[in-house]
Formats: sequence, C-alpha cells, structure tokens
Amino acid sequence: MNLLQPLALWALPLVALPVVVHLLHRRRHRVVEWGAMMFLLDGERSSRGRQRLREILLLAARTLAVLALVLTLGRPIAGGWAARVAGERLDMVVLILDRSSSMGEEVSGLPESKLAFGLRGAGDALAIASPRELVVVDATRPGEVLRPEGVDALRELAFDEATSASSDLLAAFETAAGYMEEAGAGRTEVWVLTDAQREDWNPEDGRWEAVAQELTKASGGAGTRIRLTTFPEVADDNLAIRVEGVRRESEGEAAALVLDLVVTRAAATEASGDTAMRVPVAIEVGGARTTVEVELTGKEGRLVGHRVVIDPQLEAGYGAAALPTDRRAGDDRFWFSFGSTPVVETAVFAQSAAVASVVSVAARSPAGPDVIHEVRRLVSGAGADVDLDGVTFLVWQAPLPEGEAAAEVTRFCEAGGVVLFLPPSSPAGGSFAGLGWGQWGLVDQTDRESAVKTWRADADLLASGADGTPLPVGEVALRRVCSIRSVGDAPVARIPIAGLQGGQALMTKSALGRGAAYFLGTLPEPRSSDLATQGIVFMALVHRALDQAAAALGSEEQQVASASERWLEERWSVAASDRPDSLAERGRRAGVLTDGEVFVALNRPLAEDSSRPLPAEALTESLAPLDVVVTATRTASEGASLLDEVWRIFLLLVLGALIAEQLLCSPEGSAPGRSEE
Amino acid sequence: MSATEAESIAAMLDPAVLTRVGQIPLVARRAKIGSVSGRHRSPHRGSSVEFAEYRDYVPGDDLRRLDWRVYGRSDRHFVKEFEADTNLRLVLVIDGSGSMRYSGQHGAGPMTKYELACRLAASIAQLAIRQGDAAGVTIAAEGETVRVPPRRRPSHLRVLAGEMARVAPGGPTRLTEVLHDVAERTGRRALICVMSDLFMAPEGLRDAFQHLRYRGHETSAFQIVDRDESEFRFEEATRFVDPEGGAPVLADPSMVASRYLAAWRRHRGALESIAVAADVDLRETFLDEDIASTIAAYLLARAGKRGRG
Repeated sequence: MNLLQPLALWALPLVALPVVVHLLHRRRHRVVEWGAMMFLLDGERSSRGRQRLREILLLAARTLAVLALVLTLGRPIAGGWAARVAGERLDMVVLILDRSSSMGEEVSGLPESKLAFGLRGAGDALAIASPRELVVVDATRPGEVLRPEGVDALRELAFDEATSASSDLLAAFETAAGYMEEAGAGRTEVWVLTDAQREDWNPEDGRWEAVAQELTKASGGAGTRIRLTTFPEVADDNLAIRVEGVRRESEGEAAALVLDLVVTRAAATEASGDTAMRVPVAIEVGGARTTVEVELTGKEGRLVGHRVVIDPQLEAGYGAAALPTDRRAGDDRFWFSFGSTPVVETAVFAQSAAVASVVSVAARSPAGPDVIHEVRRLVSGAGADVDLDGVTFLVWQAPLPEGEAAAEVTRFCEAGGVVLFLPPSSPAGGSFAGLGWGQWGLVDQTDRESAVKTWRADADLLASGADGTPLPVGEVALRRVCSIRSVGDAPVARIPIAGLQGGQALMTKSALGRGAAYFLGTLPEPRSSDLATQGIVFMALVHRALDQAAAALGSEEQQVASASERWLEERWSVAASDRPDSLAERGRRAGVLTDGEVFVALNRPLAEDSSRPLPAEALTESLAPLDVVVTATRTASEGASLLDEVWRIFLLLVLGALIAEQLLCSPEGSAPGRSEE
Repeated sequence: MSATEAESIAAMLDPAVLTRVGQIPLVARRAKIGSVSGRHRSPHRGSSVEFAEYRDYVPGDDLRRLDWRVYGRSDRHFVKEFEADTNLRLVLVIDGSGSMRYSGQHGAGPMTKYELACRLAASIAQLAIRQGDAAGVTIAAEGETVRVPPRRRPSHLRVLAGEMARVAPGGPTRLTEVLHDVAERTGRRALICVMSDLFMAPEGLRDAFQHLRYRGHETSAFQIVDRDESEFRFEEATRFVDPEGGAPVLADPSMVASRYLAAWRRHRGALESIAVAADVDLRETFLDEDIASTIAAYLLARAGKRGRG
C-alpha cells in the first residue's frame, strides 16, 4: 500500500490521543461516599475482568478509528492493478492526452480543468506505478511522441492546459502503437485522458480495428491494457460563442465592423433549454470594448449584423467576442480578424490561351467580398522553374511537370495546395501522383450514353449544393475526352470523382499530403466541352478548389486552431491569445496570429462546442479485443482516475471502529431504548 | 443539649406531620400484652365487649363464660370468648451505621437517611404516645447501643428525640446484633419498627427477624434508601468511598451499572422473601418521599389489615 499524501503520516502521533485521553480520564473522577458498597462490590468484582477487556477493546477501537482516519487523509493506494499485484513492473506507460478545447472544462466541484485534474491523477498513478518508460502522445498533435523522464518532467511539459484544437485520438493511438512496436515494449499500459467526444474519437472509423490489432501485436503478447479516464459530464447550461461573419464597412469618415454572432448553450435537460435568457457579450476591437446583449431562446441566440463602430484609421485588425467565463472557459471567447482581405492567387500554366482565359475568368469572379482573387499566368514553357510562392490553386494544362517542377508542385500540394491538371493538346508519357494522361478520344454526339454518368455528389469538388441540389454535371456536353491512366503503385489514394458510361474516368483525384491533384479529362473550351459556356459546373469546381486550398493553406482570416506546421513558421507571431503562448503550441491555441500584414484568427473547431461524449461501451467496442478499463469521472469526488484508491475502505474502517466504540460504551446489558425495570 | 440537637428534635417532632396523620390510629396487627387497657388487642381473652368467637367448652373453663342461651337452643356447651384490649409497646430500632449518612446526589435535599429514619421514628413514637401506648428506641450506633426503654409519658418523647439527635451515624452495621438484643431484652410482645437501609447480608437479617417473631414481636421495617442507590444514576467515573470502612472502589458507572442494579434487585428480592417468611411489614422508603405520606400509608395499611394474633 502506498500513500499519495505521505505528509499525512505526520499526524500519526494522534493515534496516541485516545490513550492519553483515557489516562487523563482515569485521573479525573469525583468521590462519593457510598453506602451501598455491597452491590457495587458485587458488580465490580464479577465484571472486573470483562471491564478490563472492554476497556482495552474500547481503546483499540478508538485508536483504530484515529489511525484509519489518518491513513484516509493520506489517500492510500492499494497495490493497485494486476501488474503490481503480480509484482511485475510496467515496462511502459503510454499516456495519451486529449488536450482538445472541451477538456478545459472545469470538473464539477473543482476549480480545475478536466485535463489538469486527470493529469494530476495520472501523475500520482505514475509515481506509484513507476514504469520503465513513459511516453506521452498529445492527441492535438498526434504525430509526435514525447518521452519525459519521469513524472516531474511530465509536469514540466505543462500539458495541463487544454488547447483550442481538436484531438485525433485515433491518430494518437496509431502513433502510440507504432512507437510501441518500434520500441519493443513489454508489459504496457495505455492511459488515456479524454472527454470522449464523438468527433475526437470518431468510433466509426475503420482504422480502429487495425489500431487494436497493432496494439495487441506491439506488446508482443505481454498484454496491453488500456485505461481510459473519461470525463463524460458536460457542464449544464454551458454557453459558447462563435463569430460567424465579420466585415468592415466604411462610409465616408465612419467605419464599422459588422458582426454575426451565435451564442449556443449545451442545455443538460430539455426544460432548461426552453427558458429564454439574455447573455452579455463583450466585443473587444482595437482596445475598445463594447457590450451587447444576446437573447437566447432555446439552445441558440443569434445576433446578425451587429455594428461596432471602429476607428476609421483601423483598416485591418482583430478582436474578440467574449461571454462571461463559465465552467468551460475555452468556448467563451471567439477571436476574429478583419480588413486584411486575403489574396487567393490562382496560377495558370496553360498551353491554350482559351483555356487560360476561361480559368482566369472563373477564378477571378469573386464569390464573396472577403477574398481577393488574383490570377497569375505562368509563362508557357517555363515549366522548369515554376514559382508557386503564394499560390493557392494551380491549373496545369501542359505536359505533366518533371524534375524540379514536379518536386515543386508536389511540395505545393503537400502543403495544402490544389492542382488541377487539364490534358495538354498532345498528351505524352509521364505521371504525377500516380496518374497520367492517356489519349484523346472523340465522343459520339449521338450517343447520349457517353455523357457524364457518375460523379461524387456527396463531397469534393462536384458535391451538391448545401441544400442538396446537385450540380448539373450530367448535362455537361462532352465532345472529346482524354483518358486518365493510373501509373504505378502509387502510395496515394486515387479517388474517382466523375466517370463516363462504361467506367471511363472523366475526373480523378489523387490526394497528396494536405492538398490534392485533380485530373480532368476534358478542357473548358468549345472543341472539347461546353464547360466554359455552361459555366456552372466549372465555376463551382474552380471555386471549391480555391476554397479547399485556401482552407488548407490557411489563407483565410478565420481558421480552426490546429497543429499545423505553418503556424510554427518564423513569420508568424502572436498578436493576441487566450493564454500565454509557448511556441510549440502556436496554432493550437485560440488567438490571433500575424505576419505583419495579415491577421489570422484561430479558434476551436465547431465540433468542440456541440459534440456529445460517447458512452463507455462505444469506447470499449472501438478497441474491441483489448483489455479496456473505463473510469468515468463525473465530479471531483469521483476522481478515482487511474488509481485504485482504497480510501473508502479506510473510511469504512473509521466508521466501523466508531460503531464498535459506541457499542462498547453503551451500558452493558441494556440495549438502547430499553428502560431499566 | 446543644442548639443543633434542639433543632433536630424540633425537626423530628414536626407538628405538620402529626396534623396530617394524627387521626389515623397506630394499630398492632398482632395481639400485644400490655399492662394497661388500651386500644390494642391482647392475646388474653378478656371481659371486654368485643366478641371474638365460640369454642367448645373444655373442663376447667370458667363456667361464667359458658353461653347458656346456645346451650338452651342446641344442648351443647360453648364458651363465648371476648377480646381483651391492651396497650402497645413500640420499640423503634434505628440503624446508625455509616451508610445511613448518605444524603443523595440528585437533589434529594440536605437530609441524610439517618435523619429521615429519626423523623419517621419520632413521628411514629409521637403517635403511639398520644394514643396512650409506650414507645422506646434502640439505636445501633458506632460502638454503642443506645437504649431508651418504652414509656407512656408524653415527656418521654423528648427523651427519645434527644437520644436520636445525639447519635451521629458511622461505622459498620450492627443492626442484626442489635435486633437479636432487642428480641431478647423486650420482655413482652411489642411492635418493633426497624429504620435502616438494610445494606447487610440477608441471611443475618433473616435470623434476626425470625428471632423477633419467635419472641412474639411484630416487626415493621422501613428500608430507607436514596434513589441514587436504587437506580445508580451516575454518569462519570467515580471513586466510591465506603463510609463503613471498606476499601474504596473506582468504577465507571456505565460499566458496572447493570451488575449493580442486578445485585440490588437480588438483594431486594431476598429481603422481600425474608419479610414474607418472618411476617415483617417491609416498606421501601425513599429519601425524597414525604414523611407524612409515608407514615399515613403505613398506618392505613395496618388499620386495614388488622389480623389476629
């Protein structure tokens, strides 16, 4: 047995207290001249032995009560789980931390976040378990494996503050499994602190099965146990705020920001969700602070088009909308930036001037006032040294890039850029990202069958509109189509986006890092198709590609906090943040980053506000064949976390000793309530 | 006589008590032999007007007492007997041992058990003398036995009270010894009234009571106790010091209470069976009881149960 608070042992001398009290008690008594000694002697003589025994028992009970109380205060830990009972030391503990925004919520009854609380428990448990190796995987940055030397080093990591990013627990498990296999871990336990949000856990993902198998394999038969400490409780009436839109408007000398705000609440019960309430929202822009009340009816309150007057000199800047802090402080503030209208640049590298101009027109047509679209035409034939700096979307209608150019385009894609390859006039060999061009083929105009027959309408560039209206891809008239070849055993997924009758691909996607390469088998010019004249499909395609790339490259002003390498670049600095920032966590913390020109507001993902916790069974199921122990912590008092604390047993001992004491104290032979005759 | 003794005498002869119980006669349940005609039955059949019974004539009976009318009607010889009344000799025996010094812990007032015994005795003696009976007292005091023989003079009452006030209770119990002495010394049948807590071995007491009975005395016993003693109401650890010279006992009342009470009940049971066997009118009297009521109850019980001797 170990104690978490060994300092409590200093209170052990208190055990002597009952003895001292007993001795004092013996000295302190009154004297009575007593005539009826014969009865007293009779009683006393016959009960002297029993009385002594009773006295000793009484003393023992009192001493035991004090001892048990002292030990309870010391937070005793039983030898713990199986490994320790068996006398075996754990070879490795992999600690997976869900540091997503929602883990910043306070545990009910404590001024401490779920993460800090859980981490403290884990620290205690680690101090007891003292594994040979400790590995920490931060699920908001799941690719990285940290190896703090011992518990103190773990505390120094200062991981007890939640980030604003979302967690990818699956990826964290994959990383953990990978590391375990590599390190050849023996008896290993994976300890996970999470609030088990559906979005973070993603239990439907097919990769869980593989992860479970890998974990089983990684420990080499020594057995891997997963200990999940979950925090399924969600704060009642937690309020969250988001800024859905910001734009700067100026009229003459005056300037104002127009904000669209949404305040949501996570009502625990239906009834509590019905009451209307007014919430003050503080809006801070450029050092000035205004307050506006938002009325919530049901679970949501919106404030659309709220104008905040700003200094007309302030062309670009940032601000925040904040709610009064509640138990989940992470969603009480939302950062926004304005003015520094980002430029989304499209680079066109086309053999055909017609194609280039169609792409230019499509890319330049503004889809909204928030973005400035620019198009750069790369000089034809200069494929050897493509300059893609600042480019978001690349349209390539030329023989596929080779050498330096191919490497540059690959880098561009992996960073999040999107490239759309259009067939050159005379397709040659070569490939990019596992795809290459085949031959041009004419499409029989009478054969209606050869029109576009299938396309991905659920996602990607040809997805249906937000209301479900499909793009009229099927009505695109095709005159000639260049076939798309799959080349080699590419390490990337090739996803068909659109296809003709008979299975011939019209459009295929090849995912590359954070970006993608699309191959479209026809051209937006009259000889090949009516994509240019019936511009809807092409326009949607181009702008979605732009959005997708812009989001991936982070060209937008409002972004989701994430562990992107991009924010670690030197040019970014923190303009404002919820918390003091460490460089490693820049990008995962809500706040505003700036590179001197552009302000980018980073906030928690939407899912953090709304995602519900998964039940323990779902968690166990996703890790199916493994030995999973789920400890749900709802309130601070339940904080058994990763430890098998046995203080309850000691508390029962205290109680038992006190009851025994009471029984021994009560007058002999007369049960309470029974009067003497 | 000192001032305190005078006060004690005055307290003993409380006129209020007499006022309350004065109308109730002190009667003997068993016949007494007295020298003066009184209100108590005499064991001798006499010539009083009180008819007692018929019995068969036996040779030697006084022919004057033969009931001729019955003989005339039934042709059988019956002797008509009448009761002879006599005066009562009352001997009050007071236990003056150390245990009688106890005055209670729980608001019973300043009176000790000895004082209560004296007051009871004085009041009963006063009643007896007022109705023409003789009253005397024997006190089993420490080292001496104070004896005042029964007299019928009203002034004798002050002598009795003076002796009672003079004696200070203390020392071990000598009651059984004194009772045997009383049984021997009291020549004629008398009413013996014992005032004691009876904290002694029941066997010795039984012998003494049997002795009294054998000698033809009628015995009443007032067991004077405090409720502390009968209920043992103590909370904290207490050192009990024996006023009769025994070793002190340090006890936690909560631990010994039940055994104490059991011993108490056993002793009480033994006393009661002795009382029945020796025809003793045993009365438990508590220190906090009203003297007049106690005496009234005693007298009424006796008047109601007048039996034959």
